[in-house]
Amino acid sequence: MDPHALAILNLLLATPMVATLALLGTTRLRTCARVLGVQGLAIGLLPWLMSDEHPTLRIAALMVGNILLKAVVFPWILLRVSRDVEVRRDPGGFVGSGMAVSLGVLCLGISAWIGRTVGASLPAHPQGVYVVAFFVILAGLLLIIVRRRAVMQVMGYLTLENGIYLFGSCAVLDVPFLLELGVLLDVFAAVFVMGAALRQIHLELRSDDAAQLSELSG
Amino acid sequence: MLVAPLICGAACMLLQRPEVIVRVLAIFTTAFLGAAILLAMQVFDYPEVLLSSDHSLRVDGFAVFHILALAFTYFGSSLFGVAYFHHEIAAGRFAAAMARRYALLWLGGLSAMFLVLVANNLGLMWVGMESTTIVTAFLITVRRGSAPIEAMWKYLIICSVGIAFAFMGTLLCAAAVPGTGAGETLLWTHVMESRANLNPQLMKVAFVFLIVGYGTKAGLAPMHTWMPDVYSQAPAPVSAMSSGFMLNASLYCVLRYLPVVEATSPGFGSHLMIGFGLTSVLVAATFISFQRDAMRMLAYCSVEHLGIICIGYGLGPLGAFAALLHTLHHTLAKSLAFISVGRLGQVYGTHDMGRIRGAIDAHPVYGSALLASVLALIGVAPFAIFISEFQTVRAMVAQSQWAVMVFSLIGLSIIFISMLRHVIGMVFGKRPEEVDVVEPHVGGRLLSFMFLGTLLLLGVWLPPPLLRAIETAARVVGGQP
Repeated sequence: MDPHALAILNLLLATPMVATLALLGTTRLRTCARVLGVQGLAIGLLPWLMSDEHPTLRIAALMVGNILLKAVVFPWILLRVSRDVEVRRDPGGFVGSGMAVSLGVLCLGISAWIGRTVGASLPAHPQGVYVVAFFVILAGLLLIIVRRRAVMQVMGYLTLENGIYLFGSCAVLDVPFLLELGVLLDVFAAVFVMGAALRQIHLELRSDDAAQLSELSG
Repeated sequence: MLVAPLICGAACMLLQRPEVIVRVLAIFTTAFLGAAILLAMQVFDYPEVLLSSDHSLRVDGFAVFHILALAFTYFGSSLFGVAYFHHEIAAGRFAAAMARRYALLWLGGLSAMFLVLVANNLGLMWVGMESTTIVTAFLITVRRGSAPIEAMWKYLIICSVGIAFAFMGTLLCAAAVPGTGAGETLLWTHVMESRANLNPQLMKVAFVFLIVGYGTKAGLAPMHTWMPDVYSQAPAPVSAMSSGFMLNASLYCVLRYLPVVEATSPGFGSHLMIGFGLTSVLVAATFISFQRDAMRMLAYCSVEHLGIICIGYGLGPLGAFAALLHTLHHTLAKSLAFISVGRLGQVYGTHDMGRIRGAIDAHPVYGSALLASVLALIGVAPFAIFISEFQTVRAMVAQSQWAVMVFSLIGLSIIFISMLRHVIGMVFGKRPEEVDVVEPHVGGRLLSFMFLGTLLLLGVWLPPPLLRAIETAARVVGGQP
């Protein structure tokens, strides 16, 4: 790989990590949606850049579709939903932003260990790719757990999906086109349904505070 | 059978009267059951039936056993839906728009679950399972109010995360398979043929993700937390369908991988199955004892039975046979239990077990059906569950799993006492004066008789074709051709 491509690759590898940490530390939902878009763009470009072969037309179309969904459509849906349910900030649930970022750094350490252990048995790529993928997955889970707003939990789910996409596109070389398309459509449908669910929660409770969803227990 | 439910669901969107819509669902699912029986007869004659030329869709003995359970559960739940929604319509709680949405989602769920069962491509199987989550989420919110919304949101988030984990497991499994470049990596038949050459480390990690991921949707403890909330808030036919079959469909996905991981790392998969199974039985035993809501009690009872099934699958061929038998028996008994509690809930206006008293007096058919179904669920002879639980214990003895046996029996004993105590109070207490006696409908009698009769019959006699189907399915789980 030539030095320019390597520099771009390193920059792209760092982008999802920084974006994910920013998601953990930001309370403004508008900013979070944009950061999610940046994360989606970087993760969509990474497998393309790491591939040694020129992608066929249909693979290229799938990648462009993937980037459009993750960098443009999903953030746009979430921005619209947060505007409709009149929510601007997520004050955080069990932990504040600072603690969330600290936990994120801890996740990074765990991911470094998992990424190196599992990555040793996977197709050769810069080992950092697997570390980044596992970090994004763990941080997505963390976002779902520590945030109060249901919109932020959807962002956590998308972050988790982004991590899995990055892992899959590097680790598995032989996945049929139609299947990738099916998975992408499924994720799109899931986000669409979650958006509809958020509107229903807002209509019923006049809020999207997940902490208020505590009537059922035991 | 894959597309027909969607066509019927779309056709229901043109209907105007909710009573007609629920009847159409009952008629369609009856026809679907007939088609499932025809498909099963074909598979009994041949070891497998290919449904697509690229081998993505295929039916074998294991799949057809579950297809029959799926068709029967949908058939029973849809028939009950006619009576259940008749009362909801009369009470003004089930309008035409809601009925159309319900029909589309109900049949969409059927189509998605059928896809799970016929998918030979493990990725396609995942797509089917993810679709069931998306499609069935809004079936929970047929009733208005904050509690159903809360249940739906928990279901959507917890199961979506679980299914995402299952996708990670699927990818790891694909990475463990030596690729041919022909897009065969994710074909289950190809994975089975390549078992000897798989990367054992990756397969182990993959199986952990798969059991946690699909196990979340199957309601295995400790990932079961969505289940009591959903079953207590969803309409009774939805709870009956979900507990009767959707949980089995998720476990079916895990079981497709069990022979693969057992071939690469013997004992790894079965120990995990036993571990999650035992945890589920013990968690259910803890929570059932202090439940107040009948639907939540039945939800924890599902956690228990899925646990028993998991333990069975972890105990070798004898255990797998018992687990398959238990799957069938649990499907029948649990569907009837949800149907009974659902109807009694309409009569009493609550699912609170403290306020449901004298059920056998208020509604003789569903009161008796509740008693009989709970007796079946706690493993009283001569109901069929007694036989499958006995077979599971035999498998534990055969495998010298003494600790598992002791802890399982402790859990089952606690559940036996707790559920019996709850149900005796509900069925035989004094009926509140404000609750009128309901004249049983002939449809209700027939439905209860169908489920109970089958449970009793299976307790004393296993028809030879069914025995052959279970043996074939057990061989597939055991990794034999």
